[in-house]
Amino acid sequence: MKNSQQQNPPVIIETRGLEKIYNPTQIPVHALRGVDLQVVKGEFTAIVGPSGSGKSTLLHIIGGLDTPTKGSVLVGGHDISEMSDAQLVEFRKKHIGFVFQSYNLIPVLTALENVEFIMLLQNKDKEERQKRAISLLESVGLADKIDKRPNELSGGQQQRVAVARALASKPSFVLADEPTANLDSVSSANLLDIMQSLNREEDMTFVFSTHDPRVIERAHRIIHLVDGRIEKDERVAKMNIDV
Amino acid sequence: MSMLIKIAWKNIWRNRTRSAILITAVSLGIWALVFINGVAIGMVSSYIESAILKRTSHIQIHLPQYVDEPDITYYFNGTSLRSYLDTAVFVREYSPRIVTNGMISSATSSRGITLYGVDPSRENALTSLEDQLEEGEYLPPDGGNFILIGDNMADKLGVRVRSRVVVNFQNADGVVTAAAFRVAGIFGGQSSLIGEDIAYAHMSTIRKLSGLTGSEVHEIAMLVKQPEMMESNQEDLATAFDDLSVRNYKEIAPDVALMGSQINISLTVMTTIFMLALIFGIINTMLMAVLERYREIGMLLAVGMKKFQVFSMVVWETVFLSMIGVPIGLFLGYLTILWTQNRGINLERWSDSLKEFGLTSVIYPDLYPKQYVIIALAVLATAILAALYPARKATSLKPIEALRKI
Repeated sequence: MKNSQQQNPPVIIETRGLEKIYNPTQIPVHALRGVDLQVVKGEFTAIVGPSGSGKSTLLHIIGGLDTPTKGSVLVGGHDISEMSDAQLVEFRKKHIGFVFQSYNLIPVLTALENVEFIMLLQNKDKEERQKRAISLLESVGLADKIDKRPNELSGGQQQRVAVARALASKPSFVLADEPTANLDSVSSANLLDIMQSLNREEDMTFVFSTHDPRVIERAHRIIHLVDGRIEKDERVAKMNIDV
Repeated sequence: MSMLIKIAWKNIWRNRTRSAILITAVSLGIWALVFINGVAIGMVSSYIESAILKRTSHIQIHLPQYVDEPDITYYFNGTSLRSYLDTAVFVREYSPRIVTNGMISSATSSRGITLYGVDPSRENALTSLEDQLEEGEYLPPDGGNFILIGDNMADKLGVRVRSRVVVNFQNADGVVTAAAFRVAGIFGGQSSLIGEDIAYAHMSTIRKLSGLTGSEVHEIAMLVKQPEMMESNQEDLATAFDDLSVRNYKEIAPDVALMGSQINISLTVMTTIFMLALIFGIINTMLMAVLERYREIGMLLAVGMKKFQVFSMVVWETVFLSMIGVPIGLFLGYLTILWTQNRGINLERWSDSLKEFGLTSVIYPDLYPKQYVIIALAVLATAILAALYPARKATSLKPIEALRKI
């Protein structure tokens, strides 16, 4: 029994009775209506659902970018819903990698500098920053584009830089908000290949919101949100972990 | 920090047209500010120089009683003072004067007058009186009843060169004396501020008429070699001749110093207006720059950039934008001042009004190096001040709201 407990991967994200109501005093909009969720290390999880189902809200609250109206979020055992703004900034910097729908790279910096930037915020020394940034850009297949600025890269390439940037800080998990929404099918496939290989080889946990069927079919776990509630939580492929 | 500065520097070139417009506006503003300052300082300098040359000199020495009441009886023996001034190294020129107050009359009119009895060559060396003559000739060196009067007084008396005038005044014994003079020359350039009621005659003539003897004088006016040392020279003189009143031009004519301070006030007001305009220009530009990068700034805050770092980034961008314009503006201003400094700016069209205020019609702009530094620092301070609002706006962003946009 003890052995089997040790082999269980740790729970990285846990939400308890999460509720989010926008405009509570005027016309209340219930974005989340009591979401209980656990994500363990190494999962490749898609949160799916129609527009307005609460996918992005859930992702933002897990990422410490938004606060719940009710309930709590525990990341690595820490209740982030109790943290101050300054604590959240530090927490996000250390523990969470973000990939945004519109890439959101810094346009005046090169691919290498964009990846280095997060490590710079963590006060890593230059040598370490450059080494890791180059290695990450190589792992997303952009070794030959390190000196290119975002406007010299295609959408797919920019999103791969964004993935490398998300991983630069060695986060506990990566949150990706509709990462393929602006990509064509080839770029989407490339990106998903990279994310999956990072998940497989580095045991990196990915949680992404999407309604892209190409992403959904690659996910190991699919959480269906409808009207702010988890309607279905399905594991579609056998993962190498015992949940 | 270096990455932050690097990003800020690169950010200002994202919208080159907008940045170029702001840089041009700052440059032109600074150029105008430097030039206006230069012209104003040139005007003040010319006013003060003119007042010193024509009216007060650097230092004047009298009996203390004369300062309180300029009466003909308050004269002093200038022998020892003149010997001192002949050997003192700091003296450029000096001129002893006998001063009487009386009445000058022509065939048609009479006016009050302050008549100076002077040594023509010494007075000319001190005040360039001969150069100020518009008509006639300077006082002859050997005396005689010749008088120099100002053009305004000549008009009011209805006299011209070679006309006869009569001067009445009380001599040192309290007896009213009258003497006839021939107008030798008429000088111009006397403003109403400097005085239209001044006349000059040979010292020997006035001495005889006033009943003074030997080297008795009412006043010794002098110029020093180094004007910046004037106060210390004044102190030396006051110590050496403690029975005499030794005053500098600021004490003699406080209005001269007042003119300087009034011009400074006007310049401060102008500079403040310029800085206010600059503040709003910068706020407008930077606010646009911040608002169009709403998502990007939201992303920076989301991934862990501290508010202080975002704040600094916006401030750096503003400082860069402003400080590119500063050296350009200063350099243009410097060139303009350099160009006009020797040629002068001719304001002949307004010479009558300028004369009224004791100003010459040709202005020679000038600006001290210190003032270039002050202008640069003022713009830097203004830029930082103007950056605060856009920077505050950037940091007040909630990352989630920024990311939700678009």
